[in-house]
Amino acid sequence: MKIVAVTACPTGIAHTYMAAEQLEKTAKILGHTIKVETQGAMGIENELTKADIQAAEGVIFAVDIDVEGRERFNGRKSIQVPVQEAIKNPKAVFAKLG
Amino acid sequence: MPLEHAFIFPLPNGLHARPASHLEALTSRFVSNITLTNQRTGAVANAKSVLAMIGADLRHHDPSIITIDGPDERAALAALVAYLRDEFPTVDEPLPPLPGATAMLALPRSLKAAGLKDYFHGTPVTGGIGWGQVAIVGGITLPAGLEAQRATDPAAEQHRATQAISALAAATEARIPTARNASEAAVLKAHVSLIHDPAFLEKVAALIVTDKRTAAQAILGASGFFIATLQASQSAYLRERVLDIQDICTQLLEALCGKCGSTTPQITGPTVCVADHLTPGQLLALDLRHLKGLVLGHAGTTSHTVILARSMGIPTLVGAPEAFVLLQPGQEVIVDANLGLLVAAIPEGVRRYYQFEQRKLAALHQRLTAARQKPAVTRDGHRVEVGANIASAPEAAVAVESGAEGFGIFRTEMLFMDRAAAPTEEEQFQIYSRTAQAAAGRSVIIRLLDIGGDKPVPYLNFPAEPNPFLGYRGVRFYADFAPLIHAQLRAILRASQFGPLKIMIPMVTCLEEVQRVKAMVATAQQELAAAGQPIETLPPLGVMIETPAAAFLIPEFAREIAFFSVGTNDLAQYFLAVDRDNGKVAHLYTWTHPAFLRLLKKITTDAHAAEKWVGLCGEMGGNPAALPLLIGLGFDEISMAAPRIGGIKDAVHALHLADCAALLEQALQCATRSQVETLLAPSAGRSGTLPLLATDLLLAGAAQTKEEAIKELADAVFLAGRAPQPHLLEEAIWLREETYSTGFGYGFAMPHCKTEHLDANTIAISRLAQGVVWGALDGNPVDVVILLALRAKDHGKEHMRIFAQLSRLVMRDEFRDRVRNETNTDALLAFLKQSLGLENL
Repeated sequence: MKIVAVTACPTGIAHTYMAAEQLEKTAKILGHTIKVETQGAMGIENELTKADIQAAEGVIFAVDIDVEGRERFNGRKSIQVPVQEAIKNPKAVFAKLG
Repeated sequence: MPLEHAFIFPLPNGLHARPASHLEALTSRFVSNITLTNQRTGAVANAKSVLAMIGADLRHHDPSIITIDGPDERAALAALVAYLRDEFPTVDEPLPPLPGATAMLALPRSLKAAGLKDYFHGTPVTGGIGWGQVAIVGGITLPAGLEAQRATDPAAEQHRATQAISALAAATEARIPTARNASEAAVLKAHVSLIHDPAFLEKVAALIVTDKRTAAQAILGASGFFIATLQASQSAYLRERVLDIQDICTQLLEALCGKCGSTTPQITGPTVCVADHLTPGQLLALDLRHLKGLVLGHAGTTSHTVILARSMGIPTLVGAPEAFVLLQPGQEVIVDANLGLLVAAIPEGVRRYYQFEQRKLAALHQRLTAARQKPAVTRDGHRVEVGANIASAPEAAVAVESGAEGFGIFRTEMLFMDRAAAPTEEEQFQIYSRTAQAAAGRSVIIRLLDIGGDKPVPYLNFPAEPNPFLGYRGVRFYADFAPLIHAQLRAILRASQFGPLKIMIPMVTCLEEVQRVKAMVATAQQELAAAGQPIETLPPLGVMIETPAAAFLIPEFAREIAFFSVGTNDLAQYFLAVDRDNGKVAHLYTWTHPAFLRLLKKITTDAHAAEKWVGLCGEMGGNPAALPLLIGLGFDEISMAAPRIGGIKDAVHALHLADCAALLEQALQCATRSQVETLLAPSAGRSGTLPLLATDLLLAGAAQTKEEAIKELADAVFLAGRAPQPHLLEEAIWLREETYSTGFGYGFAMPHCKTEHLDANTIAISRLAQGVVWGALDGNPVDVVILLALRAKDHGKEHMRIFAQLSRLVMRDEFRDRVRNETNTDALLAFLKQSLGLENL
């Protein structure tokens, strides 16, 4: 499955990147391909392009704050979880995506 | 016709006992009547009476007049004018602010969580943590039967009073030479003046004669009168002098009637002394080795009791009256004079909190002591000697403790002032020998007598001059006072066998002056040799560069003498043609003038071209802002007031010679002082910053709770010199922790914050001996805590990238295993640096 994700936590120092790492790691185990955009203290990194979003079969928002440019994902199949959920139990997050 | 001198009262705390006793020491040398008038209130006081002057209630900026009437009024006026201008404003320097001991708005989270409940607030006046058993010192009760005394013979009573007063004055004076420190000596001196005070003596005499009182009753009555005067003063500072009068009164009553009811407890173990009022005498009567803390109900922050406690580093709180009432003798308490708390109940958590605090303070003390005693070397290995400026022998030992590597100037004029005749050769020999011995092998530059018409030395009878700063002073009067200088030279030559002394000539403008002093040194040497005291090696002779003319004769001087030292205070004054005491032009006086910097550059360049040592001993030397320029100028030594040495050495350690030299080049190109000042940002001269990670940030944590773990990390960052106020860093970490726990599972937590209470971006890791409850995602205890602390103002993304990288790494099992289990701290540091791509940082 092709997946895109966005991670964002309140300070943007730690959990944004922990969650990104956890999602990438778990996707590999589950045999998905994933691209994770981080919205942290350094701003947006690994930004999802229009093509990335078009090609994705599902979107994961692991966020505790508003996502910047959320309208980019309008009409896509998506789920939203707290950042902590993606860190604690990433497999369950992917399972939610169905 | 009486002479008058009007001035604006200069001391911020008003005229209280200490400055008044300084003034009295000068006025009492003259026979003329001298009065001090407070023009705000109209009060007129005898300027030879400390108490009368205190009663005049002079406050900061009050318009004041000194009036002098009598046979020596002209000499008295000259002396007073000079004294009031040059020295008086500095006799009551305010206490430096307490670092970190500000009253807290909120208690540290870790202390509240530790179970703190029973405590009092007080105003901290000396920082630190004191831990011990309560000893209550009660008030003074009067000797029994005092009221019932009946006087029969006024002459006999007067005799008894006079005897008691003289005996106490002599006993107090005798304690001055063995005072523990300068503050204690100053308080004792102030007490001697108070005891001798004519207003006090008059009042006692009047009560004996007119009211038929006994000596003891009269002393009590006189004290009561002056205490009432002081208590009526609008100045809190003056009201605090009450304790001094009480102290003297008690001692006099004890001399006359036997022991007063003052209870000075015998203390044998660690003790916190609690009192409503405590006189300086009561404090000094305690066994200070065991005194760990002091809590005073009503003492003000500037009472002599507090000043003494501070000079001895005893953690002290004032303004805690309920403590005196509610605490029991023998009860265990903690004085937290950093937060302003008296902790009256000590549950286990609070005990642990204060054990952490004590360990932190001990580590801090050790670090600062170590820094002070280290040589001042820049990051790129350039060494500069940091010396002390002194004016008396006892200061030498204190300066050595403060980290002085030499003595850039020993100003000898203080030895000649405030006395009836010049010190003898023998007296000076003793002083210079003691200084050389205290200097313990460090070089001491003794400046030959530098005195002029502006300094009151009555026995020299210097002529009154319209402009003493351009007149008869320094080396210029040596020819007329040859025996005086001769005695000084002989004393220095003789003392030079006790250590490397050097001789410096002041106020030089031409080569002949230097040659004449050189000849005087040779004569002194010959005389001593003839008298059987040969001096094999003469102390090196140097020139103080303080006139522009001298600055341009360095190659010529260099053929005659061994070293140079730049006196920047006078040099700037003469070079810029500014009298810095003249309010109209004082703003023009500055070392940041580009022309002045170019002059300094010429001096160091010429001195080094002649292969001569060149030091600097003006106030510029103790100014951290000037330091990068002084390093860039290549001074061999920078000398300053001893208390500044630690800070300047610390600052040198953070500088780069290469950056300082580049900065100086830029400053020399500037056209205006404001351009120079813009260059001197706080970061000037420091291209290197602290690394993100260091071994002192990798802890073996002893914490048993989350609060303790965070406190331990914040304290480690503080001890590493990265966060000046650890409790504020602690609070910033907790603010983030409140959003949700940073315990992400696997026994790991990664607290983080972005805060202005941080000097350098930091990663700190604590590996705990036992896991603590963190509210982690998986509910398990946490035993590895990684703190990411980011400066609020940092816009650089480099460190943030590393934090992000670390956040990803902790998701990997093998990384966590290594961080948890690597026993060797150096290996752990190397592993982390490698993992984060920091090998070269």
